Amino acid sequence: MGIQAVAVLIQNANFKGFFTGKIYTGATKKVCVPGLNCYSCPGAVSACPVGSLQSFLSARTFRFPYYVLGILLFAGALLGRAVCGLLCPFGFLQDLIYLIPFFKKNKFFLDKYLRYLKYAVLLVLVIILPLCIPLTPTFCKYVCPSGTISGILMAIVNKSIRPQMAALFHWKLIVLLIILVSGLIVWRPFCRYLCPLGAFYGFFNRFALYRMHLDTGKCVDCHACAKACKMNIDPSKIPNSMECVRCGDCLRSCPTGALVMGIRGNTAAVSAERKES
Amino acid sequence: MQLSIWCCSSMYKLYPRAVQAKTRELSMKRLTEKKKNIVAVVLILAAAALIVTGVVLGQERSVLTKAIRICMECVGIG
Repeated sequence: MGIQAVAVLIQNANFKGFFTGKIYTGATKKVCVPGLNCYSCPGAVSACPVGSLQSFLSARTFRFPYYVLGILLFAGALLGRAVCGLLCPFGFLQDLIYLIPFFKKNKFFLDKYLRYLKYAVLLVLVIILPLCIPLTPTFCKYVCPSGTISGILMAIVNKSIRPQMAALFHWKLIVLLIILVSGLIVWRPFCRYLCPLGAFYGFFNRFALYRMHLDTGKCVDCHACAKACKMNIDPSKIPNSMECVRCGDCLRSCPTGALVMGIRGNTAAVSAERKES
Repeated sequence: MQLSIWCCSSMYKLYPRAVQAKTRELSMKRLTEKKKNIVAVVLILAAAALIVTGVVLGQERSVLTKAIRICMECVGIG
């Protein structure tokens, strides 16, 4: 959580903006952060990759988004969904909400099926609709909870903005409230079911440089990792699942240290070889 | 330690095929891990090329232009 807190502070370092209600306009906004951090947040010092991608796709004159796609690809290939677990501000907010004592239910019937929704959000709301409807970032406009929080923060300080917040804002507020209330019960519901960045980075989990390594020589099949995993994954079977956000709970629960996360070689193969010889 | 080495060498003499099969399986796993790292590095280099292409085309300025203005749709004003 320490890394997450530092990442949030770095990405929202324009503290003055929280008091003035004005967004940062410096040169660092050329750079997209890998996580979900709305660039209209008064504190944001960088750009949002999803918003930037949609602005390219929905532009009147289409230009292939080399720059934004390059940043997304770089983050994915290097970290995979470790972006979600370590760097994403909205992921951090969900972690904090889950700490509030409440009824918890991470496994339920619809969980497995709802996970496919985020791929539909990525394909339809982030890619297809902005291509078809000019100047309309559909995901940002109708779903993104980070933008809603930015709007709330601005409205607190900037009274002139409040009368302009009408039906669209109310809709986005309802979406945000559903996500936050669900977050009391289910761990990271937005990351599981709706986040297009999570959907994108999930494809890289298997071969990102920073990934999970299972030492089969040390694993005793106790399934402590599966019990600890709040994303309902069994790391002893699928250490690099597309759903894994690299929170590290499984690593901490493993009694033998069989699970290792990082940039390394063939931990399992080497260890098993040593055991054989 | 010497006892375990003796046992292992005895095992190899008794069950050479089983040990060889395991060694082949481990070699395959090592190759897979190595291949994954190669894929990751290739993707990172491709990403770097995309970023450079984007910068040459001036796309980072477009990102900046968008990011320094309040996104009305994002905050719910529309």
